[in-house]
Amino acid sequence: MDDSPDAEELSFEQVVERLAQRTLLPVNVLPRDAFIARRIPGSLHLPLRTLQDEAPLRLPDKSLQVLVYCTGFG
Amino acid sequence: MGYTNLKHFGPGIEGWIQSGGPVESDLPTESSIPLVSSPRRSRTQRGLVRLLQLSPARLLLLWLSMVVGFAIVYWIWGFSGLPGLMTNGQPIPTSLEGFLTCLYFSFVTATSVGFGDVVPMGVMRAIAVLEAATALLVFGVLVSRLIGQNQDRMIREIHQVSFEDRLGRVRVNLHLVLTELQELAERCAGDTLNQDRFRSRWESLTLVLIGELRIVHELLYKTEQHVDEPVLETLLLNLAACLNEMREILRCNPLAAGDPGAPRQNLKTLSILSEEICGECVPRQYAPELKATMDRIQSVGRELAG
Repeated sequence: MDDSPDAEELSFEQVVERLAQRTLLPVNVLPRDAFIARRIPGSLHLPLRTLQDEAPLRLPDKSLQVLVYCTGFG
Repeated sequence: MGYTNLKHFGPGIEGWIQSGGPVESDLPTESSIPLVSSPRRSRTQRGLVRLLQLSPARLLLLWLSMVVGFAIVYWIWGFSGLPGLMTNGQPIPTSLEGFLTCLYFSFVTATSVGFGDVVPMGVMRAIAVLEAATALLVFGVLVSRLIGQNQDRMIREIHQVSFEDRLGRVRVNLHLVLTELQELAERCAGDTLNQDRFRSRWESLTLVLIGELRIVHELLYKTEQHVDEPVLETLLLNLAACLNEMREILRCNPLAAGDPGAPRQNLKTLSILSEEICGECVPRQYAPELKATMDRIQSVGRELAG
């Protein structure tokens, strides 16, 4: 999913605004334990390992605004 | 993967927390997952989607509220002195009895029965038509949801039956492959092998095992279908035993690895699939014994490719 070359980078403020408008779906690609420990509220869990298989099943609407994130800072 | 509206948040969860963003922890509940609206959907479509997502009880409540709401509108209109609901050529009184007549008319309109003993006049005709159309839509959705619930249950049962049937076939196939592999291993040790016949049996067994391994891999990674741990344990133990026998045969008869080409490729496929079966790499958490069996599959699988 995040192999798309045109994934637009969003700032913190943009993410907050779009989450409030409910136009953005955050997708956490971290392992299960990390997902359970802390995540952006309302995140969908699609671990990187199963992303290819599960993304079409759990996100069939390919026009949705999807925000992919992981641990960050390295 | 074809997603056209993909965004990325580089700072990740660490950056999110440092910027003061709210954080959620523990397992998510269904209600914590937001309803994200597709930009392509119009307001009407979104409204319809929301209507379809309501539970039957809420739909019934909505329908009843509509009936009572429209009855109040008909009744209040009576105070204006303008033409409203009429019965026997007389306007409906503004008393409690009049309200009950309005409620009766509203029910008759919402169910599209239309006895004709109470008739709307003037603007109330448009309101009655609006009530009939909207109440019928909600009622239709309610009926379809009730039927749909039953169908969903039946579909789940059918899926469950075919899923268990599939599991049963995997168990039988793995058992047969294991028996064949054990026989090959014994004959290999006894040096009574006809190389040509051995090759063909070996290749066909490898192909069958790849098929079964793919199914087990799918069971572990596609988590929509739940497999009971004892069933999964049997499958994994059989699988581990099959891979173990394969390793023994390869040790006894290195020619089984074959020349570069199809047979070697099959072993590579087995190894790639096994590589992803381990206690810590599958998405679910399993009992320690199951994890240990998965780890064994992974380690034997690695040896096969080498």
